[in-house]
Amino acid sequence: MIILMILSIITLALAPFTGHYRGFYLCITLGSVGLVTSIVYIPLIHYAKTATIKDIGRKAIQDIWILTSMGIGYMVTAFAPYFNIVPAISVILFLIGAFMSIYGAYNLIKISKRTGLPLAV
Amino acid sequence: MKNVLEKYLNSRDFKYFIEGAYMSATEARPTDVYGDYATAVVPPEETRSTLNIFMVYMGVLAVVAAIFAGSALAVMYDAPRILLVALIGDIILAILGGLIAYIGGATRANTYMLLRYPLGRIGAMIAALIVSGISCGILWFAVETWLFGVTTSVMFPDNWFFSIAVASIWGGLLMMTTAYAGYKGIGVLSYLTVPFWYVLVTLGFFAALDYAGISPERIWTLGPEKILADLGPGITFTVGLYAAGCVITPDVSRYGEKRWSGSVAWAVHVAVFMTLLLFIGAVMTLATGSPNVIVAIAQIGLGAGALMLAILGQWTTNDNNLWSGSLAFVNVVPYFKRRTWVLILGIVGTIIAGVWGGLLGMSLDPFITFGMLLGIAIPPIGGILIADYYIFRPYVLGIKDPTQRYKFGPGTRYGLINIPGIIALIAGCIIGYYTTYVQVIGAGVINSILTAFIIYLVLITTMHKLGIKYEAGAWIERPTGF
Repeated sequence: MIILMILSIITLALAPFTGHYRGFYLCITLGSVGLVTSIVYIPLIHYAKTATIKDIGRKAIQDIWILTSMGIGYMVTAFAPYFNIVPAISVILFLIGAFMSIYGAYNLIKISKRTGLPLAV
Repeated sequence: MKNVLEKYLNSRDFKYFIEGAYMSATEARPTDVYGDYATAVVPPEETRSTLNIFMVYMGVLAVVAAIFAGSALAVMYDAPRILLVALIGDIILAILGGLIAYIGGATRANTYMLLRYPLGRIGAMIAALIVSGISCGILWFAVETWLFGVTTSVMFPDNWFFSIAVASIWGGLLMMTTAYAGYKGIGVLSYLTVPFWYVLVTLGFFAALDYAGISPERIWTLGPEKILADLGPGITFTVGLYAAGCVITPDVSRYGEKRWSGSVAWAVHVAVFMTLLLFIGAVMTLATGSPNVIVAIAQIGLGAGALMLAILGQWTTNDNNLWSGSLAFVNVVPYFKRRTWVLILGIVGTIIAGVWGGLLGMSLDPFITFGMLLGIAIPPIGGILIADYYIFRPYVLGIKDPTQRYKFGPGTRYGLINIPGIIALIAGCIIGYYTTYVQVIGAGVINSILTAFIIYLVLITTMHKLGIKYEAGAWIERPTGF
């Protein structure tokens, strides 16, 4: 989850370098969703009063799902002509999205198996 | 005739019926014979978080048709009024659906089991077919699958793979997969789709406006040539859009870990996000002449995004239609498991969409018309359920504990027909039809709900107080839960 949060921060940091206001707003939107989700969930997980593995796993799965879904959003918008993003930044955004989706899916399955929780908890 | 009778007497279901009649409720344990607890209550270990319930409801809402519906409001009102009308209508839906979703959360039973009490066992079977079995499982599944084909054919007009017929067929088969997997599959798809779908639709909306040269500030000045002063028709329209969805909220809310999980999830999703989608569709129509935000997204160079929105949006809605339909049919015809019903209904719906609508180019209007006619009966069913659970059971029968008002399990006795329920349903349908199609008086949907609510309460309370039996016949729940 920390890794996914860092990727959201990187997305926000890339916003000024997209070369167009549309790309700027896209990065702000995508990065903000990821960052806000992480800010909400990470403290819930780390400072939870109860320490059961299922409670922690549930919150982690919910957080990762949102970020995995947003990864798809990154991939479908990165190269869209409308946003006029410079090619290098487009490639980075696409790779961030692909990583978020694949890494997110991997962690979802891992946490689900380890905690015995269903994937869609 | 003799052979048919002998076959029935030797059948598994008749033997279960006889066994169930001698089995006490305390001895019997509900078992998930048909899959996804189609005839049993959801056990605590299978419950899900409130967020899961919210995501599933949001997945149902994430559909092109919801955005299209906003275009009807654009004909009547300017942007500020559109927002107000949509919000008021959706708050009414939030309350109605929230009340019914709570029943599912408290009892952990699906809609078609809940209806056994206010309508009787046979009445519940008829209602199951009306509410979901035929309407959602066949008709709306077919229409939504066909709409999917139409959307993809508009986006990619020269590609045979995205033609109406071919796209309807592979789209229909795709939508069947998660319905076949059941609630687990639906949950996974909803979690995967919902966050990015809503963000992308909102992005696409602003992108389309930007492309059309309309700034966010100008949105509030958009409107038709003639603006309707009366908000009533718009509110009526909004409530009518999703009144049917209110009634089947228990199918999902029964999985909530808390009794109120479904109510909160339903209320937030309809009051906030349905309002958003209606607003988007309306403003798109006012600004660009077309509510089709997905085609607009494709035209401005978001092709892959538009395709994902179309596929995943229709998928998350239509799999729920098919899934609810399969639950309903299990409660009517117990010879097949839920998954088998998914295959039967899904194939029928896909053939209607792909062959009838796509290949033959025939209109789906007859199916839509029939679906809308069936839809007249759905809101009164919701009114009767609310009356029975929230008024009759606690205040007349004295069952205050919400978890004890409806009980299920092998050996449970239900009436075959609940006479006040059936009379109230018929009256609600007549009033709803008359005040919608013959003489428009107020909001037809609200009229039908209120009529059914009041008539049910008056009849059943009077009959109970006078010692008159309000249930005809008896049905003993079998070990299978049927």
